[in-house]
Amino acid sequence: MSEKELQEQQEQEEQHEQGRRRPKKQEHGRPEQKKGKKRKKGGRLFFRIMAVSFVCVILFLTLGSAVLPDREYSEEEKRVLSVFPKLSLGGIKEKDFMEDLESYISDQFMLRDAWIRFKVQCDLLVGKREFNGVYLGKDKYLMQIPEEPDEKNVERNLQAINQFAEKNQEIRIRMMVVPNAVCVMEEYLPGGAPVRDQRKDAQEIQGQLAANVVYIDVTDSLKAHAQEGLYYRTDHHWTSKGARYAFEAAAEELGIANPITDYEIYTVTNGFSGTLSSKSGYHKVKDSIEVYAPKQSETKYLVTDSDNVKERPTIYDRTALDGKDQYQVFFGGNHATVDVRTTNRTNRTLLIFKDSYANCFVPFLLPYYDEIIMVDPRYYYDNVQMLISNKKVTDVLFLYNMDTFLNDRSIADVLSGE
Amino acid sequence: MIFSSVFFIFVFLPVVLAIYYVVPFKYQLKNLVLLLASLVFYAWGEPVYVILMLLSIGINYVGGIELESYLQSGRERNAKVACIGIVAVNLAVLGFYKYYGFVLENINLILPFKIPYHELALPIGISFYTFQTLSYIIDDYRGKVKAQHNPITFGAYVCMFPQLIAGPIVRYSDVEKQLMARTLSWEKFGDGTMWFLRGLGKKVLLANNMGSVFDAIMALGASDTSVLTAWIGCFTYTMQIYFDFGGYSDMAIGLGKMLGFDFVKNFDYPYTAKSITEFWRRWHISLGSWFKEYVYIPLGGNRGGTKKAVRNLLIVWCLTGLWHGAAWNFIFWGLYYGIILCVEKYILKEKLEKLPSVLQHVYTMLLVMLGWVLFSAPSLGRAFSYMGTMLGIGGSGVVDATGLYFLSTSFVIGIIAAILCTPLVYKRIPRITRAREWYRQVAGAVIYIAIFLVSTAYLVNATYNPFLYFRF
Amino acid sequence: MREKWSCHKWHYLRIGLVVLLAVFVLFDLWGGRVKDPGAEHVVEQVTKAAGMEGMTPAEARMVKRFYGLNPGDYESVVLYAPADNMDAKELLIVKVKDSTQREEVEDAIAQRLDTQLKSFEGYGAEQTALLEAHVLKSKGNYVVYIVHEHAQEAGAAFEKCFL
Repeated sequence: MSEKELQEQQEQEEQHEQGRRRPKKQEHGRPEQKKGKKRKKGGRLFFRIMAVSFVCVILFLTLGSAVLPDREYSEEEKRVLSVFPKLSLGGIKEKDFMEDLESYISDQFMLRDAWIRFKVQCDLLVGKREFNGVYLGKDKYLMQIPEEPDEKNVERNLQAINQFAEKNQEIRIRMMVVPNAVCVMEEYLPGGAPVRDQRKDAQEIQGQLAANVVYIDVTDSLKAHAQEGLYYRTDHHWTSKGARYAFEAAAEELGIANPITDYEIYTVTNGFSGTLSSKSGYHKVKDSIEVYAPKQSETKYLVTDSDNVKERPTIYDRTALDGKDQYQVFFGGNHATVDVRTTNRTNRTLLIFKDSYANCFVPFLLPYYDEIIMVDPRYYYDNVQMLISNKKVTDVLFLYNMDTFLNDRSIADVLSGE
Repeated sequence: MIFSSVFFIFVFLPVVLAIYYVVPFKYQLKNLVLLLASLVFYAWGEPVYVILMLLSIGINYVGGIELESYLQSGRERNAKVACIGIVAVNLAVLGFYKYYGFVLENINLILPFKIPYHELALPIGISFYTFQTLSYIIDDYRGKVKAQHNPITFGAYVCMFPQLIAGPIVRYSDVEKQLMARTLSWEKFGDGTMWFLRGLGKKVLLANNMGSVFDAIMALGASDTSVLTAWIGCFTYTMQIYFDFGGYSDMAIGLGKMLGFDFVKNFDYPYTAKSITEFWRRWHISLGSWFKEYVYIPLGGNRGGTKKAVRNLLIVWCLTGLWHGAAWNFIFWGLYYGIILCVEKYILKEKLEKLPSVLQHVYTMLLVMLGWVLFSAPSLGRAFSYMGTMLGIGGSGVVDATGLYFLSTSFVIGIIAAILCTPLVYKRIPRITRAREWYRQVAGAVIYIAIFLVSTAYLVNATYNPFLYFRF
Repeated sequence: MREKWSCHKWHYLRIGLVVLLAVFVLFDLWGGRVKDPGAEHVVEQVTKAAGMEGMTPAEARMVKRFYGLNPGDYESVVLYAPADNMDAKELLIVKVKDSTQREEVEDAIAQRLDTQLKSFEGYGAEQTALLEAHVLKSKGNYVVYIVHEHAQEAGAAFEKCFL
């Protein structure tokens, strides 16, 4: 094709793109016609391929989605998928039906997991390092971006803790707020990625606590071992190893004189894919979960929790390893209360107000208390003072990770007992 | 329903197209299918306000015929009164739903007591379809078009789903003939899919990705924002709004073609403009030309001296700002452009053209980007403090690690977006699609289908898919 | 003459439609005002529709604990809490004293929902799904919030009370 022809063609295309209507020709539907036979051929194939492949792709995916059986649960997203909504007049008027139908269609879309992986792959290709509130750091570490807290609420929680401490002067009260991966493993963050300064948060909490609440800051102890895998790559929790270093740093403050430092380490699974994998859609790595058992410890114990009153001789839940969330191997997940009675005779009873970070920390505490009671304020609605006097609690530990603590909305209510 | 959703592309569109193509053109059946599909499309997002739209269609349909019958029987006065009446009703509905809350809020600020009111939801697309019916009524009165006697055809024109919720504002005179007869062919359908996929890619791959960077930057505190970060934020918003709106317009044009229509182009590489005057000839063309045709010229345009012309320009731009939303920053944004346009017209004149073209581009883009800061900020105060940060006042230095993070993670998309703002790539498209060699044409199709598949992946993952132009 | 009549026909038709439009807009503006079916009736209808499986009536202090609302501030507050702590089901029906209170109740519910979603995030897929399928409606002086398998039905029953 000569240069001139090409130019002509471009002009024509541009006019075409302008969409300016040229009524006469339009009605014949073939603006190319006038320009000779050559042109008539050029482009036709393209438009036909476009039309056919567009229709085919849509039909294939639509029919495929319709034919394939609906899935109830998405393993990769750790989410119950939508089902076909019920039709009702009210549902239509309030738009519920339309919204539910749209989410049903996209939830049950053919090859949904593959599409999401593909999307993440494309994002990676163009240099994106943040996926739905999760950073992908060096060495394939996924790190949750901490939320901005509601300052007023944090203050309310701290006040409640201080009042609680005032009421219970004779109890040894400790507080340990564990920094998250973004803080401890700062060097692993994508270069310059903005995150909250959790060191500053820790200092601020410390500054607001009453004198008899001792804050245990484990940031430096954890940072010293930042490269050893203190957090899971695919999950927002810390590992048993992280808990171990924190325990060693905290033992003295907890009033534990000669902590055991030798552990038997068991790897219970190599195929752990945690919450951050689901949240980000990045599934390229798996974690292993390790369990630490203190050597030279004679302690035996029985466990009950608010969801299962049957006494069991182990804090580990093997069945969780086959389930959706393998981190639940510790205590079978979160419960309103967990009660561990041991064979020790130390005359010490520990009450822990906690989030899920405690689940892999408590195993380290077992040899040093007669009884350990874990209370998760998010699900606990009973009177705390009664619990303290009934169980003759001697020690209290607030054990949280920084992100959960700064966004918690239940500590104050549980402590004030309203 | 929005075009860039799994539901629209994989359920609504195939069902509507299948019925539309199966039904014969006789007895306006295709228009009926189009009308019904559009009503379902609208009711999907506004199950209640679909009644409002139907009433609006009814009034304008009846009014159009009434006007015509007055004119035919030579009663000009009656026609004038009727025309003013119909226009007033249209404007009253638009004004009421769009500005009622805003007006009362501001009255309450002044009054010593409070008038209680509850905020009304803005019916989707009302700004667009009202402007369309207005164009019909005014053109009918002026005798430019004939009244449409078929209610189905008229209904299909007003609420045609491709352009219903985000434009372009299609004037009746532009589609009058197409409504009665239009051709459908595989080639035209293919052309439509090309436009649609191009728009889809712009919206889903470019606008949304730029938007998520912009949101991340806006979430930073002012003290954590460096000059670099602020400029990246401004750039990403500039890209987001163009590809969001431009992409939507492309999709509308593409859907129109699939249905046999040819709509007027709404964007013409606005960011390549060399002056603000030119920018507005290239940005949201259908809105600009609507205001010119139905407000600026009837006001007297630039006849009657500089003073009057300036007044007219400022009125038009105040209205343009207000059209974009009921908030002060939109009004200021409109006035900002009104003033710049006056300055270009009467003070700068040809001086601009004498500058090197690079400087002309820089001048235009700077003003446009500052305009977007005004446009996007939740309040005027925020807008000015953001502009301050861009100039290095009150931020965290010129360059910081955070800024470099945003630069590196949005660099590739940013460059792609910037290139696609210019005709550089599009200019070459015909060389592939219209090439004589079959393999070139196939390669072109493969590229578009690839864009489709990648966009689908992003749609399926749509955790982030808000439509900026829904607010208007 | 006939021509004139034809003009008039269209004219009156248009005026009629404009009146209809005005009615619609006025109705939209005053649409918030509805009859009061009585708190007991609403509670009865909603609980019947929900089936109330796995829920028990909760004490007034739980309203404060869950939502930070003081039950005394409202005309009536009924709360059903999950029978099991690790469950997410709940039902709240509030009758406010005047419509200005409605917003604070809705905000409190939104806050509660947010908290609950966070509490179960990553642990309870079923609970999270229930929470996401919650129904929150307000009509007249009533606000209802339901997290339950039968939330849809309960919501419909709530709406029905006002017909």
